Amino acid sequence: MKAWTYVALVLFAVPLQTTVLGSVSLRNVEPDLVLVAVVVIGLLAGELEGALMGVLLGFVQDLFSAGVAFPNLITKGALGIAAGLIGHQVVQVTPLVVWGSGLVLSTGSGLAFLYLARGRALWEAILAVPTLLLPQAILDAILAAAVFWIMTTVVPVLGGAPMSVRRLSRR
Amino acid sequence: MAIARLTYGSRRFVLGLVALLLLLLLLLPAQTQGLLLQFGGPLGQVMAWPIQALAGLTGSVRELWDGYVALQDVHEENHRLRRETELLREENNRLREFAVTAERLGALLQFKEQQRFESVGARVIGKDATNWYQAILLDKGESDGVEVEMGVVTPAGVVGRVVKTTLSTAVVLLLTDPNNAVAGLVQRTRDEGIVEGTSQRGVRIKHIPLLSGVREGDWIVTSGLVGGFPRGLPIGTVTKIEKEEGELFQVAEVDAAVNFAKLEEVLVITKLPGGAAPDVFHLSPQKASKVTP
Repeated sequence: MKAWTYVALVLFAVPLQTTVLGSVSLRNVEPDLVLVAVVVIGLLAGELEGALMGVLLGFVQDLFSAGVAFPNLITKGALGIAAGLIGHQVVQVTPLVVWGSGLVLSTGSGLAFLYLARGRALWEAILAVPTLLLPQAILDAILAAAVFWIMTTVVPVLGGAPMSVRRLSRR
Repeated sequence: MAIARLTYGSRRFVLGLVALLLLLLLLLPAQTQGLLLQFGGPLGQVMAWPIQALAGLTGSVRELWDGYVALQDVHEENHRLRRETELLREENNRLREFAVTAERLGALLQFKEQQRFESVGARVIGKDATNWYQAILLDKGESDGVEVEMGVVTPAGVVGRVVKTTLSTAVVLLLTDPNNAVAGLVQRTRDEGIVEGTSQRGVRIKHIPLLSGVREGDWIVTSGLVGGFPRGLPIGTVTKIEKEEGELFQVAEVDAAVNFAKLEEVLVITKLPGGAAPDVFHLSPQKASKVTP
């Protein structure tokens, strides 16, 4: 089930982002489905799966984005590792933890992306923070929390209880 | 899953390899980019199928939704109408959509026939996979002769340039993206400048000489000096001129001739005319209106 979920994510996350999400954007800002997926995978399944899925999904995202030098591959891979490490540090991963992690990681990823990929004037990068980076981070965090809640309660495709909980129960 | 069966040490080792790969990408972007693009070719080809399928599905759903919203206003009236009338209206709507599409494609074909450059028509199937770039995705790629740096236009004017391709898709960076730059020309005064996008999704022309007599309403066209565009294609009209004291050049805001929010079909310029005379193109910017093709 988990393997198929990952295959489906690779096949459909970026196509959904490029086609469907373009029609439902809020003031030209859309949540980043790849980022949401990587954060949730990192928190639920650990840093290795988060990193591998981040690299793979980021790579696909870069193929269909105008950016050069694969900035999404780098940021999403690092994001998967970071999400996995956060998952280890908290006693229990809850939707609130996912929301907070999503907000921080999306903001950090956006700042790294601005540094890596834009190559534009500093004031333009600063302007992108309130108009693009923060709104997207909020949307990403809300969507990540919602997806986490669905995946842990309704459809436990990544193994049900969060990793930290499983680890504790083994002790 | 295989990853779950790995020992702790193996997991650490694989994670270290991933971290090393990310570090290499960060430190040696130019060297690693070619290698990654080699891998990206087949993967991009595979990914093009779900993208095109979803683009078709999204179009159908949008048409249905538009129809639903349009019918809400006449909901009560519809109850009084007979089924035959409803069927006729649906058919009429469908035919009208066909007519609009045919008109749009006809304009594109006419534009293509009038120009001296060689081009290939493409459908817009999506937008950039991130929020960070103003870019669109086309359903034509390397197998159709589309290459990086080729210009993209509609009968209304310049759209942008191709920045990335797979076998069957192409990413086009729009004129409104701050990373894009096209050589432009003030049509009336013949002063040259660089047209680029702004953070507010607008367009501006910079490096216009200080003594230029450029004024609001002037048409900006492509200069044809560099890039994938021939000379004389409309870009937009000047709406505001910024002339700062102590500066050597002027900057002007431009109202783009193309409505980037409603792009459906475009032409990719695959071959420029050799030694074409300036402004030989039949479409006069004065006639171009801010419409989609």
